[in-house]
Amino acid sequence: MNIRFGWLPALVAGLWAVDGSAKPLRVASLNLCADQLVLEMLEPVRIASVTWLARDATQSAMAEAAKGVTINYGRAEEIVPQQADLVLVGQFTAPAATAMLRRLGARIEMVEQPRDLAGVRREILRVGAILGEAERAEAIIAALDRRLGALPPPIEPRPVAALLRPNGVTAGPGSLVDDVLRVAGYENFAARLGLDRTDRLPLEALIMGRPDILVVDYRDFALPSLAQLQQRSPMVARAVPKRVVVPSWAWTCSGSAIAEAVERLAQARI
Amino acid sequence: MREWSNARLLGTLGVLTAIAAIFSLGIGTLKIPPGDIWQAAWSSEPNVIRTVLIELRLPRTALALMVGASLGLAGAAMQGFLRNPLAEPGVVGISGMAALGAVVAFYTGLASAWSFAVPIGGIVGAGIGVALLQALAGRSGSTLTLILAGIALNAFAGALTSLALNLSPNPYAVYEILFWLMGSIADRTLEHLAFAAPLMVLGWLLLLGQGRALDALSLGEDAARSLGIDLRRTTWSLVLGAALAVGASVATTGVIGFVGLVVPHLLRPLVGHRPGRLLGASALGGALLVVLADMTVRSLALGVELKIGVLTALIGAPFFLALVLRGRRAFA
Repeated sequence: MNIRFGWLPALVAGLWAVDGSAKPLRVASLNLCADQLVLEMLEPVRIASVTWLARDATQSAMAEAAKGVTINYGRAEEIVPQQADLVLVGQFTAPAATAMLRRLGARIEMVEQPRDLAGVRREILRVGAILGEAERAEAIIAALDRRLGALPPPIEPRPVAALLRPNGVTAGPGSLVDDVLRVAGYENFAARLGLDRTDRLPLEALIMGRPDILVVDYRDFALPSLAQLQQRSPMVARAVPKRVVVPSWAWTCSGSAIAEAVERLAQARI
Repeated sequence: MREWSNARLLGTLGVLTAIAAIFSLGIGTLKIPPGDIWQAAWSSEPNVIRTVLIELRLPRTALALMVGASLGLAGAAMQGFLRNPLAEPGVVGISGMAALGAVVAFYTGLASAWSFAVPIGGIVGAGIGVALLQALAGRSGSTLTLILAGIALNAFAGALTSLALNLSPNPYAVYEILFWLMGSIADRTLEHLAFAAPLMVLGWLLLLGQGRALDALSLGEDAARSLGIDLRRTTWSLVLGAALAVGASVATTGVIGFVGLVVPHLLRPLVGHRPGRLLGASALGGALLVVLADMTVRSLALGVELKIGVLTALIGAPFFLALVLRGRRAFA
């Protein structure tokens, strides 16, 4: 097997541009967060493909833009004929396709999951440099900073916000969400309970602790699931009457969408 | 084992169940001293401890009691009616069909429009299950026919449930297969209780009313008829009662298996092997078993809470094996 087809990777590698350091002309993405950075920074002609998830408005901030470009389903076989000279991947997504493309000689760059707003800025600049769009990246950062600078200043003592994700999950210190809550002028209820970065929010603690506001991370699906039942439960609404909905696409990835999350939260504070 | 009088048996089970229920209300994520709970429960002004008790712990304990009673009662009634010791809602696929009905009602969005849709879906599923079983392996059928029909029904219902969840456009639905097939009473609210409880109670009344008929049926159909039992009416009451009790239970908590098998078997010697007397005792016994099982899954510190159906299966499966071994000796 190895002997007979040993020439194959070499042949396929010929499909990719030889010079890895030059400005990539066509970029493919195998990760939802990378998709959104690519769509935000590049002209559609330079985008070989993004994942099918990028078109889903419940989890992608760039769903409209994604409708104008080719999509992939995270398989190496789809990427190979697209003649991309750079493939952006995520740390945990499509590992088999990533390994295969690496074996075939593609230039691969990994997009990191941000853990705070500083990380979001870093990632925008880093990916901007990789894509040869440093100026565009700096413009995105400048716009982001303008929006964050226009926020109402925090008031002490800070109101306590409890985040409720599907399946009763919340986010503690060390997560992007925790930092976004802080920048928006809140104290994170999960941090007060001593919870981990990703942890279950005990409902008994929610009722006893009486946070000032419930932050619901919501994706609006056509049909229901048990996972989202708690977010819509009248019992939770009775326990914490004030709530703000932040759509998942606004605070999962690096990109200018993060400003939307901070603004929504800061406005709900007033 | 010697036969116990009704007063002694029901009294003992009742007291044990009440004690278990009180302990069940006392445990949760938060450690609240019993003194505080007692004070908060009787305090005139609203307070957070009472909110936790009423909104979170009461629905959970009440559902554990009611689902346990439904499963124990339905198991005892079906075993008496089919005169077959293996007729248990979970084993013969009625719970699986109920889960299918509830899944269809919930994930198609019907439940968003009408809150009773999920329990009704469960009841329709369970009803179809009982009817199919009755047609395939009715009262005259052998244990073997019943078990084969049950395996087929279980496989069919499980496959369709998984299919329905896989087809849902909501990506979370797929991960909820485990809930429906293994059951859980975690995070159920007062609303769940309010929609399921009346239907379960209706089912109980229908089943408990058939005690005399089941006693008569243990002598054979002709004898029962000569004793003035209307077999058509009995059949309908039992089918409808089992569908209501099992359907509403499974629609609220998923499939919790083996309760209807273990409880009647343990209690049968104590009631002198009379199927009529077994009904009330099995309801109380089922309530006790499920409350204890639910307290156990909550107390085990495994990080993620174990599904209660896993625990009842761990208790029930060896029990089932013991029955098989005893049966082999009897046949040999």
